[in-house]
Amino acid sequence: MTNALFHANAVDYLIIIVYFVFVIGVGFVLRNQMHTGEDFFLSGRSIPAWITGLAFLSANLGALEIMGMTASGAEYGLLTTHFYWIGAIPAMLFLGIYMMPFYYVSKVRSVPEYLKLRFNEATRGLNAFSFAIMTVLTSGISLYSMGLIFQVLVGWSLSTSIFVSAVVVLLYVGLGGLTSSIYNEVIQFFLIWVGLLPIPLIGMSELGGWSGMMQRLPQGFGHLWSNLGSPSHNPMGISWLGVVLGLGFVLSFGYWTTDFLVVQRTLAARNLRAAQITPIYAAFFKMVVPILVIVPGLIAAALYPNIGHVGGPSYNLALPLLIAKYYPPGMMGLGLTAMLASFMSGMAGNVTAFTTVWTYDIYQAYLRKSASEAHYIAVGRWAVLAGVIISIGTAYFAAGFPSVMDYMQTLFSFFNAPLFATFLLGMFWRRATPWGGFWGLIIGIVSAFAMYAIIPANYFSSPDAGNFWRAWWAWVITVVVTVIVSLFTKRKPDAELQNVVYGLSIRPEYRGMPWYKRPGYLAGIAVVILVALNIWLW
Amino acid sequence: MGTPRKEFLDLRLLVGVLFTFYGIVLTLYGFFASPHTHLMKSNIDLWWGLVTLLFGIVFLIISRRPLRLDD
Repeated sequence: MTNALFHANAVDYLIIIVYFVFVIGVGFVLRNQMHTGEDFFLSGRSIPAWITGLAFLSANLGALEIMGMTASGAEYGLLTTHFYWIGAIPAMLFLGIYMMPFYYVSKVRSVPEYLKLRFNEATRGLNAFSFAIMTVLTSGISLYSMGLIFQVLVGWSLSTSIFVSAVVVLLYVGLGGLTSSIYNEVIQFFLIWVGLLPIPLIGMSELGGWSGMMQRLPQGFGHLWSNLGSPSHNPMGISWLGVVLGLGFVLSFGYWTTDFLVVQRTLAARNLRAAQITPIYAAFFKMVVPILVIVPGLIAAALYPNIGHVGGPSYNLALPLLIAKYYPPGMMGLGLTAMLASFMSGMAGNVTAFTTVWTYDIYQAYLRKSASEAHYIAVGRWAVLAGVIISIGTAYFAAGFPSVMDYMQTLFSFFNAPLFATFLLGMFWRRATPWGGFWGLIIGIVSAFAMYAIIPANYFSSPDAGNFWRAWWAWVITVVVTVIVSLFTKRKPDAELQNVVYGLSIRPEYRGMPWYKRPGYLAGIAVVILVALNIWLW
Repeated sequence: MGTPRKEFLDLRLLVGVLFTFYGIVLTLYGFFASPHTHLMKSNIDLWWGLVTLLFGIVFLIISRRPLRLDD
């Protein structure tokens, strides 16, 4: 207890407990509104765009992300921002403008279900099972990390924090389904801003503003592109080509456009235009997140020059160190609540996505084809329970492997990079056949694993460079295999591909609407801001 | 889509209530206990509590407006 970094006060506990009570209360209120499977799994497709937009972003903004990206900011400087700008914005805009019409209009309830419509049952099964496994594994790892954080911060035991957080997530997701999850993601988004914004403000004023901070940082910490000419010129060990192809194209598009965790939020929107605008709004919100995570990382690097070195604190403690330094009791409660909330919404996002895929794409598809709505909601609630219990199990599993988190992120990219190739061909190339899709996807995944197993780790200049390039080649292999198999197998008749593939779907038409309601215009504005930011911090 | 099929629990109100409460707690605590960390001279709880309170009240006011259903 005594070696905890913080000593929480009564007022801090009051703030934390009020948050828990509030969240569970919202779950109870929403429970009475869950009548059909669509209500529970897709929020009845009735949520306004600004809410789904915030939820889209927050589902990804878990505690792992916040702690990890602050740590990365302290280690690599502004280079980390690539994960927020080129590594996210173009993919989100592409999802909104080009892919959303297929997802939303075809009325699918999950990403695997789209694969069934476009390709075949085998492709759907492959994706459903791999997604379900990856999701419970990741949620277990975030559960473990959060337990670890709270152990360090306030001295709770690992089991206490794992257990408390798991029970709260179980209650509110089990009661209110996706709506509950989405509401909490939005509340969490505001909590993170209110709870953590004072840190960059205080830090910057203490260090004498942006230029004052830069003077105390290593050369190159303040640039996005000017050191990317060759991998040896920057601490991340990457080149501009790796960033553009691996991160900006394959990894980011793979995650933001095909990962059901985020796509599920857009499907809850109330109409096609709201669904298209969801990721575009999220892109605007995403662009400002570096203020909260990367700037504190830079501040920590400036204040603690020995961070990450022998004898100094670990990079992972960058954010907690600043909270401990700047926050008195009261604010500390709010800061801790913000981190707890972000962790729980990250885990709840995993659990709701897992529940939906399990119920629709595994249980309904293979185990019990026709049953009442009430039956599927009940199955969904049991799946929430099962998902949380498995997550607790994988949390302890993760505890046994100190570096398992890195491996998990690598593994995750193995599945998303080939899947993005399958989607791209599936949505925009009518000639792609069902078996072309299946074999391309499975060989892409296998080859990503094979590359990881065969190519020695020191072949790449850094782990990030390895991830970027493996993702790129897995994507290329999937494209090549899908095209070759498609040329020799039978395609689906056009009648079955209505609204599923480009050229056979109705293009949404927004002529006559004011500019701020049209997805295309909003996306254009986002691109201009993105380019301006990159030039400004070149 | 027309009117929503069921009553929509207003998230704006929820956000407003939560942050108004946090704002009040922080402001009062900052005002009466005026806590300091050994490095910070200004009373962060007080001024950030007021910011939080303002944020919560803005959401409470917005939630009084009718929901625009076309968006």
